[in-house]
Amino acid sequence: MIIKSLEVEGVGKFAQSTRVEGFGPGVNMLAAHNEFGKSTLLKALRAIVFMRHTSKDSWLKDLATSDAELPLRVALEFEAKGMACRLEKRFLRRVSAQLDVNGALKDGSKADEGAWDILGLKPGSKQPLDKAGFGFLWVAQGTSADAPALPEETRNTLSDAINAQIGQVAGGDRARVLLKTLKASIDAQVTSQGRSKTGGDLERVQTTLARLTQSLEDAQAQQARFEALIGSLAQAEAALKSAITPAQEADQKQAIALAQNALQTARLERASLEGLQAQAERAALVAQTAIARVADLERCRAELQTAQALLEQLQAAQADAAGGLETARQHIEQANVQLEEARLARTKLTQALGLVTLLQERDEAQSAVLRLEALIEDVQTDHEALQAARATWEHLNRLAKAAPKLDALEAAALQAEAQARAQARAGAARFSIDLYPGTQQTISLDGTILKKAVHGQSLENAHRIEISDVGTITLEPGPSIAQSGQDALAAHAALRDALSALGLDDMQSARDALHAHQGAQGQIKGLEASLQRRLKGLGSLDNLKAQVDHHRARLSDVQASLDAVQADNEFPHTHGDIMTLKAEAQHAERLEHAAQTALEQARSRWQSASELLVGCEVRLETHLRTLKSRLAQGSESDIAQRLQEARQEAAGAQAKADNAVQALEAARLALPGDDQIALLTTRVERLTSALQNQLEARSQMIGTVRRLEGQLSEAGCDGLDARIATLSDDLERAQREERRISLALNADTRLFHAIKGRLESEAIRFSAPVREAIAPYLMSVFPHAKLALDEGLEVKGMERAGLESRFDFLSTGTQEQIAILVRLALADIMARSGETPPIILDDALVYADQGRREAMFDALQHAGRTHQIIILTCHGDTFGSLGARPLHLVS
Amino acid sequence: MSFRFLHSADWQIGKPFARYGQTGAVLRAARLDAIDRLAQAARQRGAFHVLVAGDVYDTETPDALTRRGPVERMRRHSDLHFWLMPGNHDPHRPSGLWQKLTTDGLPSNVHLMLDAAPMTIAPNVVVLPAPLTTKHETRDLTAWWDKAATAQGVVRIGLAHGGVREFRSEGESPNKIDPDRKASAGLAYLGLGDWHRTQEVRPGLWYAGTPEPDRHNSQTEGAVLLVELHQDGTLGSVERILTGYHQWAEQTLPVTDLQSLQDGIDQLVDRLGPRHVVRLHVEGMLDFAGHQVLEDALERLGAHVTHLETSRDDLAVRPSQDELEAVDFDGILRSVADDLLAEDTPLAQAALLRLWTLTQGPNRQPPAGPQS
Repeated sequence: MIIKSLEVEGVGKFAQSTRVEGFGPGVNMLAAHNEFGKSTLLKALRAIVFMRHTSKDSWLKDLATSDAELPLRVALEFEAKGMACRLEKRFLRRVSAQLDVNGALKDGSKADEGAWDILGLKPGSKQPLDKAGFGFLWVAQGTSADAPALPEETRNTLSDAINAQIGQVAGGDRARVLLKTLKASIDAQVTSQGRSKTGGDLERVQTTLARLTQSLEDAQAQQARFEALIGSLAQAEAALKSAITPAQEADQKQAIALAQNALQTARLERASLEGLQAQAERAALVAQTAIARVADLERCRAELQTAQALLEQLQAAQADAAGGLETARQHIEQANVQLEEARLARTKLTQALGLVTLLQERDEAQSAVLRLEALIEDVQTDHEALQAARATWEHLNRLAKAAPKLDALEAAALQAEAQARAQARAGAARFSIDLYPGTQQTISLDGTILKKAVHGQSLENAHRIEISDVGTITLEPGPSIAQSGQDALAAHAALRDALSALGLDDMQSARDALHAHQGAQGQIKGLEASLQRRLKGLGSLDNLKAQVDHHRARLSDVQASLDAVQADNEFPHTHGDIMTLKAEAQHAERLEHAAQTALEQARSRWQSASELLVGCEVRLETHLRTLKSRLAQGSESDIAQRLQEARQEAAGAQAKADNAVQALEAARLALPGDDQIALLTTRVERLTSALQNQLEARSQMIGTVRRLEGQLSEAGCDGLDARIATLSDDLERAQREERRISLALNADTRLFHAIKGRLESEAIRFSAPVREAIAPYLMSVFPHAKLALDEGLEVKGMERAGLESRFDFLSTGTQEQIAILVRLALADIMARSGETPPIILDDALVYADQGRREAMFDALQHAGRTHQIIILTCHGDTFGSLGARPLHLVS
Repeated sequence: MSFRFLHSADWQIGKPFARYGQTGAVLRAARLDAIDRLAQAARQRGAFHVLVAGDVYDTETPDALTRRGPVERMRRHSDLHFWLMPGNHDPHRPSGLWQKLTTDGLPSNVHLMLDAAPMTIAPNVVVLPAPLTTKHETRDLTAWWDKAATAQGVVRIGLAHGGVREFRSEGESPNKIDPDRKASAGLAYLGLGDWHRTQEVRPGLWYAGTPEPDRHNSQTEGAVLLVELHQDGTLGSVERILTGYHQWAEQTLPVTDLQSLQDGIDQLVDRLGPRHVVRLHVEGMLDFAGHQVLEDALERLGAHVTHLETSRDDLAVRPSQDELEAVDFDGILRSVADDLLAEDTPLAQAALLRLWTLTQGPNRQPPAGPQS
């Protein structure tokens, strides 16, 4: 299709009939300023090509000229399929349509549909015709950066061309719809991480499974506890059956009674034996008593003899102890005398040592006072010198501050003087003196004899010319010159006044003082440093004086102590060496200590002798009492008599005891013995204990059975088996349900991936021709770049230098350029099936830089060889290099 | 003068039937109702003693209502004497079910045989019971019968629960019983329980079966035995009396196409009724449409019987060529369908069926192509 002309009337701002002319094959361009109506023309073109003339679309109403009474009229001349066509439509008012094809006319809807037939458009789809047909090649203002989104009808159109090359592919839209359905179904069951989703059937059944499993495990655990209790109870009851029965208990009690009777009989028989035994024991006791009396008498006789010998020994020891006590007392007295002497010697030495120490302290205090007084004097001297230096420095400092002023006054005086001289030179009369050659007379100027002529000398000052032998000539300058001299004099006077005010004679004195000022600073710093060195570590001068006062007070105190000591004592060692005194004092202390030790030892010996004497006296007294007691029992001869009698009595008692024992042994052989009674006793105890143990065991077993029965009752196992069976069945049903849901979910997932995989592979296959078509365009603008297209031929991204970028992440300029290139490529593909609709770009390439724009111009011109391309732009200057055919409007 | 009694066993009152859903309650009630039916049968035939050879209850821990349920039924038949013995499902254990029954208070016509001791149930008629005290008994609890002393001329009836040694081991419990016991113990009749089928093992040695069936692949109809013994201890007759309400049927439905499916379902509907508990094995091959028809038909059959359980392990569901075309005659979806069909795994078959369903139902998408 080649557009030849476009005529509009009642369209937007084109209220009057306006015709766009100049269309031709290749690239056309309408360059005009903003608000010119370029976009309106594109809308008019869209209206006449894609809309029925009877349409009442609000979009058309918006397009119509405001308040116009005329219909919206658009006329289009074009060539298509070798036919020259003219189509004119009136919209909204007095609607009409007319198509002229090589002179054959069609009106009304036939004109609409005839044009669509020629242009290959298929009305009746769900999409508006401009969206369904080649409308994607007409890019409105502001949409050039959008990747072309192709509706199914457009893709079908493209598919016709692509399929001719790669074969038929269909069903993509149905597959995508199914994918959405499957995705929704899967998402309802599982999360993106593959976990069952809350609220989904799978999660519900899994929750049920977990609950049932837990309930079943709990019930089985309860059953296990029940079985264990039952088992324990059965064991307990079996054990109880083996426990002692009441009949057995009665039998055992009877056996115990029999054993007790036998024991009682044996004990009665043993009672008679015990009488004999008592008699034997009594006889034995009498014999033992008699023998003991004999032994007692023998011991009494021996003790009496021993006590008399011991009494004699004690009396001798008492005499020895009294002698030792006296010796000890004498030793104590000697030790006391020695100790007193040692103490006196040590006291004197200690006093001498104190006096020497006081004298040493007095000498040290006097020395300190003298040293500090000398230091104070030095400090005061330095301090006065520093004060004087600071006063001098302050005076010189004032001079130094006045120095600039003096310099200024001096400069002013010199300047005034120079000016005076200059004025004098300028205003002064001049005179010359010429000497006649060979004259014998002399002329002197101001006392100086001239040897040569004086020419043109100014009369600045008074001069006196004396001609020898003639007279003198006095030359004086005029009054103006005098005034200049007065100014100079005044300046000098001011300088002098300033110097005088500072106590200076002249400027040289001022300069000397300035020099001295610089030296005075160094002197002050030197004095300050000296003073600091003297006072380092001593503080201030006041502190020094305080120290002197302190040492003087100390000196006074020491002297007072000395006076007091010397007044009270005589000290032969006051001039001795203090170390010698200390050694003698220590020796005296050791002597005193030795005397003290000797005294304590003497006292200790006296104490021991005293205690020994007391002990002897006590023992002696005790033995005397014992001896008197023994003697009270009788004399030694009496004791011997009594001893003889006791021995006879003991022999008789022993004979009776032996007879009694013989009688007892004979009885023992005839009656039941201890072993037999012990055996009977053991039997009674054994039977009693056995019965008690069996009764306790039975009691414990009964308790165990009762306890287990109680536990069984508390276990509450009624219905437990049925519950387990029910839970097992419920669990099995839930497992079946989970398998069913999982199978359905897995089937959905399997189907989803199968369809998705097929779509992706088909997308690659289907988009291959498009990528092939776009490659030359892409190479011219983005060398070595590759585009990613989905199965709907929509641009998803671009790969450059191995890096993939999503389309929507690219810059706006790059997006626009890619979008235009893709349209050019898609138009190329459509051209393969004979469809060559024009490409219209309204206000495109506004984001491109110069380089990209030039590359895009190349691409457009390349596409222009196949397609008619119409550029609408307000940037006519920047599109100058496009080389497009210019369009123009005729009203 | 002869002695008549009913020999029954395996009532298993309280069996939950949870896997049958709501039907479980119906099946539970039917087992309880069987007591009334067997009581009526006994009364009609002049037998006033019912000997139950174990497994009166399904578990040894029934809840109170379940425990009392059969007692109350038996209480209503006060003209009959019910002699109950524990089996492997309800063994007599300390502080267990049977003790609770005693504590509950039994009617005078209900007697428990809990001890291994002769029990006179009628003049000159003694029952030698072998009650179980554990679920798994390794001993032959009937051994004591050989030395059990009874009065001269007394008719001795043995009652035991377990599998007969050297007989088919289809009983539930491993409790083995010597088949020669009838002779060695001088029994006029040995009544057994445990096996859910009425079966004569030897003359005078019978399994009564259950009065109400409870499973497939077992007894299809419930029954009890009417036994008549002569005064001299010889066996008179043994008669099988049907007492069951539900019939447990196991059927096969072979299908090859829609017609065979429809015919098979019609036949089953004719053959089965509201008392049937059915397990149906569907075999053969169906296409997707046939599969949908099968679902509808099974719903109809399920509504016709008490309960329907189906097995389709031997049923293959494959799309017909038309169904494949219906997915799409060409294009992406068709290629996906072809791939899934070729994969031929259960998952791929399910995915393919899903694909076909999605393309046939409300989600069906119009085929690609221009619209006018």
